[in-house]
Amino acid sequence: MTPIPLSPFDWAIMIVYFAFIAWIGFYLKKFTKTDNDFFLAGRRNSMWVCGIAFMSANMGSMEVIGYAGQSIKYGLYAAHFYLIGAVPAMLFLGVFMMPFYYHSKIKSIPGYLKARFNESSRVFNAAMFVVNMILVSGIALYLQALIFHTFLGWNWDMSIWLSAAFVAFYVTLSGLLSAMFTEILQFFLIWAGILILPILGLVDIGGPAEISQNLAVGFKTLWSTSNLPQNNPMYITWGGLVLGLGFAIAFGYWTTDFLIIQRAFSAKNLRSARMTPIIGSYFKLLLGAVVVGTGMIALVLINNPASGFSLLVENGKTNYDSVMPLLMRRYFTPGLIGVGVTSLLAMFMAGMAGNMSSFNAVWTYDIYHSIINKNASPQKLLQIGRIATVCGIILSVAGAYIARSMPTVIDYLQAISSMFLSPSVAIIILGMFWKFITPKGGFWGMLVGTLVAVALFIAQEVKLIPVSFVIPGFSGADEQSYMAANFWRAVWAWLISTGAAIAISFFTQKKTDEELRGFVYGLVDKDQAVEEKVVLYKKPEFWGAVTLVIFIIINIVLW
Amino acid sequence: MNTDIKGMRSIWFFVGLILTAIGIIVLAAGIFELFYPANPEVRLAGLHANIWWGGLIIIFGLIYTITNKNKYV
Repeated sequence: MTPIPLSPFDWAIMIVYFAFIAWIGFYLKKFTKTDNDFFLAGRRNSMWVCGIAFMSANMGSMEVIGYAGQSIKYGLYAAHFYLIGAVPAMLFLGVFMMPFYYHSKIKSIPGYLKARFNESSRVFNAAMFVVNMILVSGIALYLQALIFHTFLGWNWDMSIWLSAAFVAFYVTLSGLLSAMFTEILQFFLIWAGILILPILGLVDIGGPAEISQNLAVGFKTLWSTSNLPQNNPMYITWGGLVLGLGFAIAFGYWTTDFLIIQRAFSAKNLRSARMTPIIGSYFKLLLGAVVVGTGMIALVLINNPASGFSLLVENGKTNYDSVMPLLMRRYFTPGLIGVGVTSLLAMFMAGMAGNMSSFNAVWTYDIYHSIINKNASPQKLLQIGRIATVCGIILSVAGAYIARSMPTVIDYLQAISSMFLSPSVAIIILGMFWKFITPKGGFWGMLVGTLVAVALFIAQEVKLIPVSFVIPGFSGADEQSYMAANFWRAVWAWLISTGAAIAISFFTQKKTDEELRGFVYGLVDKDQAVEEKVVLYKKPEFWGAVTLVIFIIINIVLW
Repeated sequence: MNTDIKGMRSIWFFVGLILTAIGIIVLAAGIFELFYPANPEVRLAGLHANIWWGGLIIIFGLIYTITNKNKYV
């Protein structure tokens, strides 16, 4: 494939973008003086700043380019990642969980585990998070290099290292402050680049009715073909979608992944912190419409040979991730190509900045400060945070080479989530809402669940067990049922973690109510700040209910 | 980015600034293309999306820039 021809206007847009981001990094450095500024952006941000940064941290290349590709593979079933796989968990975080996180003044999710359970739980969770971040960042770097290499014709290795170096530069300068600042700028640039794509696509194919007329029922509905795995392209049942994606994976990501929750921790008050994921949920629904809509338009074009549109094929293998850049190539004229390529760059930068700012916080507070140097000064922690950023990015480069060897990045990403996020959320939710769970119960539950999930994944990869081994009542179609297996593996990891934690809690020593005050539902800390009284339309519950109604309507209309 | 760190400009001002700058370049590309048509393989080139999309980005950017130009945060 020949590279997309870039005009001087397109280059000018990219240069303006990079110059602006670099300048912002220097501008913000003078406002980053303490470790609290670096890791929590001073805890002074409004709900809109936090909500947009929260969503932007989720708008990496994987979420946009990767899921557009998933829409080609799975049709409208890919929309579940934006609906049942996001909205309920985001609302639960905002309405129920955020008060515990925010009031406990923790600097990271492992910090909550230490407060609720013990030091071992904190270190184990931090270690899992660090591994998870390196692997996920590796995927982001790989996707970015794929774009540079395939569509701009740049050298693969050079583009990966250049991308890595730039992220290292501006996250190291001012940590979360600059990560959040640039995430907000990137948020607007991403929309400028992708919002126009489905508009032009719909004009090209002749309107939304063409999607409905040209696709098989399994590709254009959300639930009506989920009674049996073989009836839909994802080879999943409604039970697997609800329990695996909607519960184990979505709650694992949205309620315990420090990468995104860190943005809410920087809010100026509890109401802003609670509104953060709720504001994010509206943008998540809009993003789903744009990304999946774009994928469905491409599906119509692919099914019509006269359109002249086809996906990239490399070594006989279809590259689903190429759909969004190829549509940009099809519709974008000079200037728009610059905005499109810049938005692809912004997605990568937003995702990587998020990964690295959360990686350095967890490494510094939950591993370095907890195990290596308990007496480190705030200045030392700031220095360690900056060093951790550079080291994390170098490790991510290695992760990029692993991701390059994988068949599809989203399948791989969900496999990672099923192993590292599901056991953590099982224990966090259990511990947050039930004081019966003991410190040892929490730790061993998390450990056993993670080990079982990792063992199942390794056994599947080395072909000791078929992919469908973890899917209840189904066998066969290994390649197609890979995603369904990820969802079910997450369910098993959740159940095993929960079961082990409850069983061990029967025999081990519990914490007293005083020790648990402020960390468990029903045990309110008297020193906790009371949430300000506001009118109904300013309440997080009100806006959460509005999202929920929209979510239900979408599911019914597209049933 | 917020209203408490003394001397720091509002993030929304920067959002406006970068959108305006990029919108101007996109619009300029669209106007240039009216006189020197670009790649004929591009579908829907006749819609001149770079002109109206560039214009929309500029309007959006200017609103943010003007309403936040004096906000030191």
